[in-house]
Amino acid sequence: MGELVWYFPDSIEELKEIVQEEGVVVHGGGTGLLRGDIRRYKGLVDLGKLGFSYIKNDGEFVEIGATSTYNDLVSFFKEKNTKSILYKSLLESATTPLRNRITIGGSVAYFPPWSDIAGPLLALSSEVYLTGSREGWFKLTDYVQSKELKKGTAILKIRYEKEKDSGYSHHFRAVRNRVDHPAFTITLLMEVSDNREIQAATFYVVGSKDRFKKLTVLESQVIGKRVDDIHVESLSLDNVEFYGKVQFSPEYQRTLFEVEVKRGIYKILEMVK
Amino acid sequence: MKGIFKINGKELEISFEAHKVLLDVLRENGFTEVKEGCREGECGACVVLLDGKPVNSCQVLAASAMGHEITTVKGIGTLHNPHPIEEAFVEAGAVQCGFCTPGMVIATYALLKENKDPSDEDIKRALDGNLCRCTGYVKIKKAVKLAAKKVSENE
Amino acid sequence: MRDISKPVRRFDASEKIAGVARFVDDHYEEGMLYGKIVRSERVRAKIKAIKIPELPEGYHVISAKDIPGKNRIKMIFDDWPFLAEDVVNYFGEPILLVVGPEREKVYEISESIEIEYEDIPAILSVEEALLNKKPPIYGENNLFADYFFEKGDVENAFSEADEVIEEEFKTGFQEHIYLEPQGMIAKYNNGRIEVFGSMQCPFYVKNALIEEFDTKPDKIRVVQTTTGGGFGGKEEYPSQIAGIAALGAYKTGKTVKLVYDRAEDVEFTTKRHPSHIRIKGAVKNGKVIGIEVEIILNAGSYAGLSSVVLQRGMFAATGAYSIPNVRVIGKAVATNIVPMGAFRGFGAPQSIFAIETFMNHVAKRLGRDPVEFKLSHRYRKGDTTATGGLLRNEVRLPEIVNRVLSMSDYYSKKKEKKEGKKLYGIGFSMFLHGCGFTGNGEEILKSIARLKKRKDNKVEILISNVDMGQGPQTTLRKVVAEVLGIPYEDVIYENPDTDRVPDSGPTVASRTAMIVGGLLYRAAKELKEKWVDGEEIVVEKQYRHPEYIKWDQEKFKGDAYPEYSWGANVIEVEVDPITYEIDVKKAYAVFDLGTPLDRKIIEGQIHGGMLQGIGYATLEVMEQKDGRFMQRTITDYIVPTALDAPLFETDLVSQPYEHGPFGAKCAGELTFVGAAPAVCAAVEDALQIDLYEIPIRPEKLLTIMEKKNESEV
Repeated sequence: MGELVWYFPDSIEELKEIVQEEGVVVHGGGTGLLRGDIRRYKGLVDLGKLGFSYIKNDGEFVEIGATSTYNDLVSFFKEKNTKSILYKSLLESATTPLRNRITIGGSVAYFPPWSDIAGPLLALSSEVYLTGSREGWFKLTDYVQSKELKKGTAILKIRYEKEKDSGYSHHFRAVRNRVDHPAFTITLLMEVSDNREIQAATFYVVGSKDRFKKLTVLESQVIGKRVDDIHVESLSLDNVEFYGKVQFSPEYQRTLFEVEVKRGIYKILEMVK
Repeated sequence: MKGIFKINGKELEISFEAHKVLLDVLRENGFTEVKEGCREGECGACVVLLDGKPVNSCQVLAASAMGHEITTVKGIGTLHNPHPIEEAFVEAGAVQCGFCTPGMVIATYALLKENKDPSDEDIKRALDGNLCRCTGYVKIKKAVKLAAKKVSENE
Repeated sequence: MRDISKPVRRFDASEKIAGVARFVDDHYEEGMLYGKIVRSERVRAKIKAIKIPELPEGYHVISAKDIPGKNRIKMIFDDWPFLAEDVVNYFGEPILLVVGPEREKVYEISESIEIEYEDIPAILSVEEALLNKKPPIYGENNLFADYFFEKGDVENAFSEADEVIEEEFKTGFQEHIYLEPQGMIAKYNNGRIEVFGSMQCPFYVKNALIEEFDTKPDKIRVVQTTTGGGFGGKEEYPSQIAGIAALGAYKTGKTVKLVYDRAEDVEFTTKRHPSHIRIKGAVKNGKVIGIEVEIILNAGSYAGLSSVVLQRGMFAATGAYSIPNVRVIGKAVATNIVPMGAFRGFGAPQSIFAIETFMNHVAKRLGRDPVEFKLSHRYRKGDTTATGGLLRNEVRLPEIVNRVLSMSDYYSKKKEKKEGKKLYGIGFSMFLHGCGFTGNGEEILKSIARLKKRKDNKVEILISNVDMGQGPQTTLRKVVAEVLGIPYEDVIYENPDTDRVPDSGPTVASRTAMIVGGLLYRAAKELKEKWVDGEEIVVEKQYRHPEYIKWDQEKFKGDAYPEYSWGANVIEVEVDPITYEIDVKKAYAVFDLGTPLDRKIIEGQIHGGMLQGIGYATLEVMEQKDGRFMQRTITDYIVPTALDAPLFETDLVSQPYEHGPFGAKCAGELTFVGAAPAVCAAVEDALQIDLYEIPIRPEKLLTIMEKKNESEV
């Protein structure tokens, strides 16, 4: 096994070629690749020179460059929109020095069950821009579930429709203390019309047995209803199961999930009132 | 592989193995003020500034740090010319075994660059990635407050 | 005369803050070899065969066969090998050492060594060990220690009682998580072995190496490097690392560096003994007149210091309470896991948790205020302890308790529960800590401290005690400087080197300030009398207990300690009413540790000790499954961060001890002992339940509360 080879492409064309080689993986600056021996790869492609550390907010979409870090997003939204679900979910995620390294692109490519950004990006119906063996915008949900889309591609940017983040939102992390890796996260987004009718509800749990799940049973009980007509306590829940983790047992995670998803919905309803 | 590393204002050409993390490259080239406490990104003993932002050097692949500004605690103050932050830590009694100390100083330095008058909550958040087993954090938080005063007075 | 308690600038602070202080891994030598231990992959097995691949030039594999002397780490018993030979007794037990010039190659080689095992039925719990159905790990019945002592007539007390209350308590493993992982550097120079490293007890290491190499004392040198925290984890364990590293140096003739990485440190080093404590109390006329305490400690696979941990735990069994009839039974039991070891408190935290929680429960049962109930039993000057020792000094508990109650506004807060989304609780604890080595330890140690006045009139402290963050390199300088009337800067105190210092005993048992500081105080007084400018003068003092101390080590009768420190804690918590997550909001503490030798340093010990105690009661969970720990990194085993720490308010009540320097008593462990029981009492208060186990985990609380709600329906 020879020494690991680093590539620092300064053009997308260069990146496209390198990323399709066997055994080569993209490094945005994040920490995911460091789990396990990095020498299992033949080559690493550093995206640093390509200028994808931006966040754009003008126009229909919010567009985030793949090498933006969690703290980049937190700083951006601190100024522009503290109601953003991305601000709420990332503000408390991990620790300060880790937030300065974890990248959005890396989080999407790796998509670990403890990720704080997974739920929000899913709930926002995000899209990822790939280059390499595939080119163009792809649904995030498709990307994370497809081996084929991951082979020979690099994520350049992620986007979601701005209006999807303009409603009410709540993010919960199942942790033992504030810096803990979450055993799971819950992300709730709701759009409420002027006459207090819930027009849209997107609820996700990340970290369950199926990795992540859209809580369609819950969603269906609130969409179309008026805020004041919802009795949170009597909502039925989706059947979500958890593996035992170092943080909590499966039973306790289930209890935490049941309690916190309802608390989250309640909190959002309170925000509307 | 070889690369140029800008450490504490000096450019150094360093030979290193491609898979190494910044922590190892720093420690193996004399920067032993950067400590290894866990290699998991959990304890903060290895925290350095990368382009002014605190990062766990054990979670940074060295190659990706080439050409960027790296600051260790020795780039902030020296034994005979300590930074006001360092003076504050000593005065407040925030140094016990000393192993977490360099990381704490870096985290404080980064905080005060952004926020000249941090609240208690700001301080706790800025130190959330730095573990200390000796002090209970009380005097460390006091030290940061004292440091904020000293840094303002200095300017 | 300066006020000894007035804080001064720590002597080690400048180097530490500038990043120039050198910890063991910061030392580097050209041509140095790196070491990696090859560890057992079985919980309990015979080693049948070892297959070592062909080694490149400069790389060596070292085994127990290479040990010239005894393959036993000098502790109290002779059972713990440096490197396993025929049998392994815990997952991760060291079997071989690989050394070589490149760290990664050494690692690779260590991973490629194949070992064939034949499993032996493993003993995975204390219950299993006591059942003794499988081949015992130690002796005939897996008991490293089986002790018993009595005072008065417990049987009579039970027969006279109005009520007999019996409860059982459990405490868990705790890992030290000193920020600096363990490590040693060993050299073999001119027929001498030299070891440098992170440690609390240089002479423990030296004595272990003398036996390992079957050699004379002058052939072994041990030097402490600046140590990044110890908490007891670097008391006895370093002897194993030092012994293995030294063997590497001895075999290769080169310098060997053996430093653990965090995961290795978390999984394979000593931890706090988990305990199972049963307390049976005889209550008559509203007082506990008799008590039987049975303490069972899980000691792991080798005896280590377990017999002494058990002793200290047993002597602390009745806490701060004067109970006329006492029976204490204790067992240290062998199981096939990592050997358990010293950790701040050394057996006392387990006992204090049990007795404090028990007294809390009894008070509630009798409809009494726990604080008042506990105070009504408190020790007074002139009382005898559980072992029949005499309390010769004032016991300032009423003052300590009153002060902490008023600081915390305990009674109003207890009555008027804070309204809010969370359940509010406030808890109280009251406790003591025996100062100095347990039982006859100090008499056996016969510690010697030396002062050397140089020709330039600077005075050097020559003792074997180390600074691991707790400050003796500052406080002991102050003691000597104050007595001699010289500037603090004129006192020298370097990291101990066994070539240069006498054996003043280990840095443990909260003895450094009181016992060793006491020796230095008396030495300085003598030096002051003999002082001649420009001349070199050496003064030595050896420790003897004050003559009034009477102790029978066989029967455990008499003065287990020459003096005691006292304390009371109040802790406030908020508990989520549905998920039972615990948030420790504020901690109040008042201690009598005699005269503080530096107020800032003492405060640092209080905050650090209490937060570690809070972690012990809440976040720090270590579980064992099939002989392996489930939490093997600090991602899994979490300790309190700056975000978890409560606000602290502290105060001191000082009852000086005449034989402690300037009246100082013991501090280091006292500050740890009371926090966990106070947290437990607070959670009990918040949820209106009784608890019996730490750590207190939200999922356990959920189960308890579900049962409680069911039974109430």
